[in-house]
Amino acid sequence: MAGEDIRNMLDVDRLVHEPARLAIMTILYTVEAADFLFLKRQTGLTKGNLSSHLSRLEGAGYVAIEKTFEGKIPRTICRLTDAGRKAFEDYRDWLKNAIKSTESKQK
Amino acid sequence: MNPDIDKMAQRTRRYWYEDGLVEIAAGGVFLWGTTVILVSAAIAAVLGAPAALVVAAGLIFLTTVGAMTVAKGVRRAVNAVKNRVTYPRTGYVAYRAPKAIKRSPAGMIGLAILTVAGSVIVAAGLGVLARRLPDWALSMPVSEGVLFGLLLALLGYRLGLARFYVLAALSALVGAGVALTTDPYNLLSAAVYFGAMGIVLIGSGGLALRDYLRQNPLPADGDADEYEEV
Repeated sequence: MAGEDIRNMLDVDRLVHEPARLAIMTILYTVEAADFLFLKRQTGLTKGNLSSHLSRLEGAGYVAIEKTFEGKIPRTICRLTDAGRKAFEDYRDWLKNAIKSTESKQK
Repeated sequence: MNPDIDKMAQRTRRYWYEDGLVEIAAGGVFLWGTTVILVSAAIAAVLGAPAALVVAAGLIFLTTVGAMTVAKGVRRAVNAVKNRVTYPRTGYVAYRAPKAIKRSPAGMIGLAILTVAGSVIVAAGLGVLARRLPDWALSMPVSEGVLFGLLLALLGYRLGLARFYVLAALSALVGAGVALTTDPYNLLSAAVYFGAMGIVLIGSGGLALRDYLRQNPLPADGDADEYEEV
């Protein structure tokens, strides 16, 4: 593998690359919005872990978090921002290229 | 954690169907279709052929122009029930609206060519089938059963939902059964198919809803949303 290829591999967005955050972003990419309970059940993360990852994604501008009420029950709605959607698409492209690159080097 | 991106996306899309409410609503729409056909047939029988034409025109209007309104209304009704039953138990999800088809001139020409070519191939295929299959196999209930079955199988494959394959097989069986036991060239046979499939869908949705409610009790007060700003 050439030096340039390796440097490209290191260009990965580490915020998205982390498995728990990748799972959160995959779910939010598929839908318009989802609440905290849904994300917790789908990812299997604890409330503390999920809160921490969501805060990091919010801090990076990838996820928008809105606290609402459904009757008297609180509901935290999360959605990907345009920047988050682009970051996820870029990550997906990076992953495809990385796989393609290693496959072509093996042939 | 080892996230499989495709499976996670598929599971998220499947969530809309997991509680069986969509099947119950679809079953309701099928039963409504049966009622419309039966009422129209009754009016046609009493008032004669000209009135039957008016009724047929009304039916076409209802099924084409009205379909969009019905689909929107059913979606809203399902969402309202989910708001009380599903979202408090397993979480709220809002799905993205389907993307509008891009209308570039090249795309429109391509679509037109594909439509003409597709129609010729289907017509030729049906011509061959018509010579080889018995009459009942080409009747309305069988076509409805097979087409709706294909749609269900496709949805089952896309969502990874096994019970939709069973429903697909049942749709084809119900269609064949109705064609063999009624006059398949009478409009009323379509009403029998819609009625039978409506009951099947409501039954399947009811069983899915029962399982969903058993597996997902309401969380205790305050447990549903525990987001903490870090």
